[in-house]
Amino acid sequence: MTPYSLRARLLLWLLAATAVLGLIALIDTWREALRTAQSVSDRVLVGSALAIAERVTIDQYGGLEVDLPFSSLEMLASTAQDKVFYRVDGPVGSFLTGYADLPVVATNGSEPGFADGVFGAAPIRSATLVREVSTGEASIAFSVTVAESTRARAALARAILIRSALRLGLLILGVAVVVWVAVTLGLRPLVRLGDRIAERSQGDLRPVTADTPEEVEPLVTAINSFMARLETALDALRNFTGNASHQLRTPLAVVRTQLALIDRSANPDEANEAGQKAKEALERAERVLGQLLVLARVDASSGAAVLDRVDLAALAREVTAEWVPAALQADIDLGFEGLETATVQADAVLLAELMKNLISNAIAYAGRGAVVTVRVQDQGDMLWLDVEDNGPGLKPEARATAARARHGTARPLPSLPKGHGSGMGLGLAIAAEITALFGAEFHLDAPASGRGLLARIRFAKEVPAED
Amino acid sequence: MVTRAGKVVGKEAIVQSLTSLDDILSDNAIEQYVSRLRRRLLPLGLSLRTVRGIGYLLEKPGEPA
Repeated sequence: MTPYSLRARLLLWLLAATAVLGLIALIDTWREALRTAQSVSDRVLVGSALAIAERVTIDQYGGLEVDLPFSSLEMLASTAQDKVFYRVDGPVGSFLTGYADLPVVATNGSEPGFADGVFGAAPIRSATLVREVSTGEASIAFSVTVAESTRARAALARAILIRSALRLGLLILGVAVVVWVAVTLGLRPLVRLGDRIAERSQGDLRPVTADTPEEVEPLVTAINSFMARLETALDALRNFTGNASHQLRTPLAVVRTQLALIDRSANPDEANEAGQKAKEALERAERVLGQLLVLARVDASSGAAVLDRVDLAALAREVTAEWVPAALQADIDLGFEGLETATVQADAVLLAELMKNLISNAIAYAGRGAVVTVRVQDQGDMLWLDVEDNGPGLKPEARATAARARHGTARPLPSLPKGHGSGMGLGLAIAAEITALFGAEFHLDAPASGRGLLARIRFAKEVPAED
Repeated sequence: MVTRAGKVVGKEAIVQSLTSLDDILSDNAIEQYVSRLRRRLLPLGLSLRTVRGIGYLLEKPGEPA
């Protein structure tokens, strides 16, 4: 995933929000500016129309005449050089003077009427005023219409808009600077935290202590918790590697010694005996290597194992039968007892591997003449797979350590018990790992007789599928 | 058993190979057969081992008893 900049993201959001709000304010300002300019323009138009109306009089023939004052149109003159138009109608509806094409705006009694329109090619604003003049006997109504092109009005609105836009631009720039500075200052504790971690030596996994704001505290806690777990996992890994290499080195050292003995042996019997011992040691090394490979495979399956319905009892009988010849060679009575059928959720290949490790472990360490029993039994909602022997067994503390499951790097590796020959810890570690993969429980107990080792796996019972 | 010498043969497999669908062979009957077989194999140096809870194993000559 491409890393993104917190500063850029904050800046973008704040600027976008400011720009949208600013645009709304700008539109409102534009409309207000137009209204203000129009109001000013209308007052001047009415003033001009009134000035003209005051100069409408009755002529000698009883008609109307206008002595147009210069000042009435002068007040409309502006810097934008707007054009001014007028017309006088009197009586109303009868053109008297001015621009005959100029449209007259409808009025409401004595109130002036206003309208926007186009005259010639220019947009205009018009005002019409209706007044009366008295002949002494009667009153004659007349109307005065004054219009002005809207250049000045548009220029005023534009000027207000430009000033507002400039203010908005300055505001956005100010926000950007404030955000930039605030983010830089706000991120400083994180930078300090990063520096503290970066300057540490490779193996330094002590908790991080930094003067951080309360918002960063959860991050520091999470980092410290992760470091603690990492340290535990690394310790366990070192322990595991040490034990595994010890278990591989021991048989290889035996092979080397026996080969040296063969070189030096004077008679064929001695050489044969040394050869046999070397062969046995090589077999042990082979077994340890195989177990390490199984452990690696179980690790790879961790979290991705697809569990299926497996007949635990049938599989236990099958695996036990496979190991009977090896047990006989070791002078061990290996047998099975318990249920005919028992369904659990598991992976058949890994479950067989689990059983193989428990049985081979028992055969390897129970000693000649021992009895090893594989048992599948039912207990309420649970099914138990037991592998019991009457050999020397393990001390309680060694049992507890060996039963601990390794799970990724989040949980400690089991410390492999020494002094029980090679492969012991690995076999139990594999069993513990596979058990954890199935969501089952792995226990190491002493048998009821008090002598030997009882490895127990507890599964939740599955209802057999109907065919 | 001879073809699977050195491997454990389950009791069910023995029952299936000795009977048809209609016949019923009890565990006792199997044990009697095995007992007779053992006596006959003994002079040949062959032994038929009982594997607890599973079945029987015909040990190949020269393998440890």
